Amino acid sequence: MAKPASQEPGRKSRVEDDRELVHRAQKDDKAAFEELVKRHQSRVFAVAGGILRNREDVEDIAQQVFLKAYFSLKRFDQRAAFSTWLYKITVNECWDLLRKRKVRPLVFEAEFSEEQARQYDGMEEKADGVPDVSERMALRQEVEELMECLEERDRMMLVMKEVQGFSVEEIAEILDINGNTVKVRLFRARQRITERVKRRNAAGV
Amino acid sequence: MFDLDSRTKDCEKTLDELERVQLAGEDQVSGERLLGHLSAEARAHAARCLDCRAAVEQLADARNLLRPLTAMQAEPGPWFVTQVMAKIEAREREEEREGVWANVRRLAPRLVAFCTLLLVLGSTWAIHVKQKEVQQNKIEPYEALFEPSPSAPLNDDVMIGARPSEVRQ
Repeated sequence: MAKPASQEPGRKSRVEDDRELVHRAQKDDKAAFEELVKRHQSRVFAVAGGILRNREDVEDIAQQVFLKAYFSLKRFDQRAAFSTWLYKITVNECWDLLRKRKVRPLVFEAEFSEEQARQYDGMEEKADGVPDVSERMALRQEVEELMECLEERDRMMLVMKEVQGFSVEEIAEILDINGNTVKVRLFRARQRITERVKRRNAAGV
Repeated sequence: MFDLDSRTKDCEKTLDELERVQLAGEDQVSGERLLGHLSAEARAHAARCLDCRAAVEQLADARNLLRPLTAMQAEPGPWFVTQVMAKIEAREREEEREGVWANVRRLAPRLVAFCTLLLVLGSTWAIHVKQKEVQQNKIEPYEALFEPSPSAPLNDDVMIGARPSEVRQ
């Protein structure tokens, strides 16, 4: 899992490094931009993966994001951090794709291909007590079903906060909303899903 | 249920601190573990405030619920960076190739308009010059071109005009 941005060691110096790389990339230094891609690819994938489910879509969007970033880089004024700008592009590209397809994000769908399942299976040894790929997928689908009671934006915020480790301030900046709004919506989203679980458990489902 | 509108400043401080708590790893999260990451002041408040204590438990439950989502996050493949850079270069080459034709396509309407204007102006100027020359009688008007030029008088005419004495001889 990509480390939460706020927990990454030396985050301030990393932001400063990014500034330097962006500055160089703006002067057509491709190596500098390549370094930026290497640094941020995981988080872009994580953000896109939190909204889209299909692996191919996530990869396409991630590529599109970096292409867009490269060709718009000269217009980027570095008022915000490069990472924030990049994740904003990611969120917007994902939403555009979903709007085009008129699909709700995070819809319960088993979209993992056999290839993906094999990939994840190969990543860890199966041990007693450790859920295998199919069990994990089932758990994941269960969670996604639970989250269907939330609005799309609230779902995305919750995933960004609790799964991808973004801070409240980062979420506010990426989604272009007030920090207090983020806190309130997160709070209510958590309330709703925990209430839903309690009701479900009480009903004996 | 915690009524957000009734929260006090202490509640807000505690909830703010709670939001900042990030726990690495995939271990089960408990309310106690979260409280351990708060300041002494926030912990003391949570001990007194049932609503904040409930919020702590709720946060722990929510994080535990969402844990399965962390397990299978999409990760980029080993060639992702190479693919991105290759696509950038391909697009730059394409833009360079299209550059000239794109400029022509972009400028074509203006070129057509410019040429039309030149044609109109040129024709107007040529007609104006000709008219000026005609006015100054430097050349016959165009119509004169189609009239037969005055021919040399016929001998018959000369004979008709001659005196009889000149004719007999």
